[in-house]
Amino acid sequence: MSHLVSKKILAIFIIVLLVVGIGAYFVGQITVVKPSPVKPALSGEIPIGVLHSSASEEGYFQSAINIAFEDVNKWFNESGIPIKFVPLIENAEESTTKACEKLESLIARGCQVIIGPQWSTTSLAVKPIADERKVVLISPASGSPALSIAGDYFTRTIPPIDAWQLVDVAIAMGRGINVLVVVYSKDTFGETSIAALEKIAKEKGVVIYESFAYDPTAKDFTVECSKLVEKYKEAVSKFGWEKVGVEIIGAGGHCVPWLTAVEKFPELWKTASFVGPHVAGATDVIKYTGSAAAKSGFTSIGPYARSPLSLSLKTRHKERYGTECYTYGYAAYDAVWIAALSILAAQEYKGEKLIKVIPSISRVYMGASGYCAMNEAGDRIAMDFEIKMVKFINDTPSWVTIGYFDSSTQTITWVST
Amino acid sequence: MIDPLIISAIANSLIMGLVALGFTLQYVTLRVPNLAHTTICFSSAYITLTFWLLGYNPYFGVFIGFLESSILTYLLYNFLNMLKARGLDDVSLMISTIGISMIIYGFANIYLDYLAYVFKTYTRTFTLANADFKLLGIPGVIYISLILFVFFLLFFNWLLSTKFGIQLRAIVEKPSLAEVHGVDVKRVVGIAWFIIGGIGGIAGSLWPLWFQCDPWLGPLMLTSIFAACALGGIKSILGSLFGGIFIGVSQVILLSVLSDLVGTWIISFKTLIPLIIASLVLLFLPEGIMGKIQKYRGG
Repeated sequence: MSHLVSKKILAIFIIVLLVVGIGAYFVGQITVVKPSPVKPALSGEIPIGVLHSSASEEGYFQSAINIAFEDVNKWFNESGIPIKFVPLIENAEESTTKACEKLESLIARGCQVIIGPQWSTTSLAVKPIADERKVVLISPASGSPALSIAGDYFTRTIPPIDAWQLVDVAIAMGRGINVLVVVYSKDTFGETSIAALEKIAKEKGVVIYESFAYDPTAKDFTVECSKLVEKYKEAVSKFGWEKVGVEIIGAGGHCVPWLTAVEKFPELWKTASFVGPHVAGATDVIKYTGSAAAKSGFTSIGPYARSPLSLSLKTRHKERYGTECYTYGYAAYDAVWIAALSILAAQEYKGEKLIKVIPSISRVYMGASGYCAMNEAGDRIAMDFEIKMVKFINDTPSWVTIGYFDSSTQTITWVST
Repeated sequence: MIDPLIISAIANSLIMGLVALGFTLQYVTLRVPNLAHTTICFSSAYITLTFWLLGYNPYFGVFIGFLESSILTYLLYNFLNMLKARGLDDVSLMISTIGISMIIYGFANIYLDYLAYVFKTYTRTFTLANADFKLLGIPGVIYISLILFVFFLLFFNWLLSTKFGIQLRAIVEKPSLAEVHGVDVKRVVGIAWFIIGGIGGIAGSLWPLWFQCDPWLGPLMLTSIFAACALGGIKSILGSLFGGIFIGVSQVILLSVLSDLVGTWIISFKTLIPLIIASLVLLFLPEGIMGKIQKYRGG
């Protein structure tokens, strides 16, 4: 009898165990999370827009942008990240209306980040659309302070124009100049630049004797140059030759026509200081107007970076295209990298996310134009500059480095030549 | 040494005159404003650039520029005729020339990029003023454009007295009547457009020898050329020449005088000058100066 009871108890025990075990298995299936293989959030082709303000700006910038896209895609490929960035290029053809249309076109084709535009006028025109559609703009050349707004979708890999004008004033002062005759382009860039120059000049004790605007769409500046000569001669008669300098404020594309006009006026060949648009090292200045540039002692500035990337870009650009990388081309190169790295960090191709990521990426990115950290308004905080002048070297006009501007100390270190 | 302002005014006015002449001739022969005219004319500036980049005298570009512009204009004429045969009205034909202008603009950009790739230099913005020769301190472009201007004036004077010229004048007066009298209108106008296009091409090929060029130059010049034709009289060949000269001079000399009178601030409104002239002419003198003179003579 006890033997039978033991067998019954054992059977019940086994059944209970089975029921509990099977039940536990099924409950476990519900609660256990199976690890799934990691899939990248982004993959395939990602379009990045490139919006040029004009045909001439495209000519200046696109080569550096091409190299940037190649470098970025090569790095992503070597890193095993299955993303390829495809540039979609549009040109505003000097029209703000067309710029808006082209921006809409790029957005419609899937772009959430656009490299450009170059001109401040164009940037101001397209910015409201970018803000509304939550698409990020990364401009490599728009310097107007009117674009410095925190919380918008506009960023830039150059500091606002004040930083550039500070260098121009420092150059004048370094040369003993305390009177300037200035011509500036009648557009957003020119007008904000002259306002910045006047403010900085006043703080530093430099007098702006005369300033007047020129039409940036004009193809000949002979009349403007004749007026510049008139005002320059007036200033020289009042203050003395060694105290008076000339400055031209305008887009890089205006440099060649201005120097073409300067060639016709010998009075401008022997100024104490002649500073022009920011195109330091530009090949076309030497190619088309080298003689006038050298005669007038044309001086210009451009970004200066001690990074290996800077030298690499300079060398490869020269090898591939036969020309020096355009001054702002370094900033354009960095704009592409910042866009790509931000997309990688955000793991989502959406402007809303990218705009939050870009500032932190910029803080750790040391690019071809230097350290690209941006402030809360999306403006690059600082940039060091190289000062170059065109001189005759063995009877050949050539760019010569004459100094470096350190943005942290705001001083120029002159190089003896 | 001659004041650079005078030289600039002469170069600007002669080139404008030649281009405006072509615009008017095209209008009076086909009754359609060819809005691609300036784009075609100034596309020959790239021919000049090409010769210079190849190491040749840029003036070689003048001859090839004539051919290039002539062929493009002739092709455009045939295209417009084809559209006309399909029933398009004059306004639609005019708009189609805008499309052609954009196509040529696109090709200009491609060609300039190709030159940049081959010659390893920036080409989107260029000027060849430094490549020009000088005689007695005056740039060669002044001599060449003056010679060509006088040549074409005499050439047209002679041409209009030939059988071809008489046929052309008959077509300008009344195409249907000319056709009834046995004139092959299409052939005569086609040849006229070929020559006109070539003359514009010569003007365009001379432009970079003093001024700056870029792909947008052609479309940008349309306003000035239209102002020149409106001022001279849109149907007057001599008027368009005069209008071109006036606009070219006013953009330089008038601007300089105005800046002396009212201040340098006026300089930034340079490109408004042809627009203002065109507006005033259309308001107060819609038939143009030559049209007014002809009206006065005719009674």
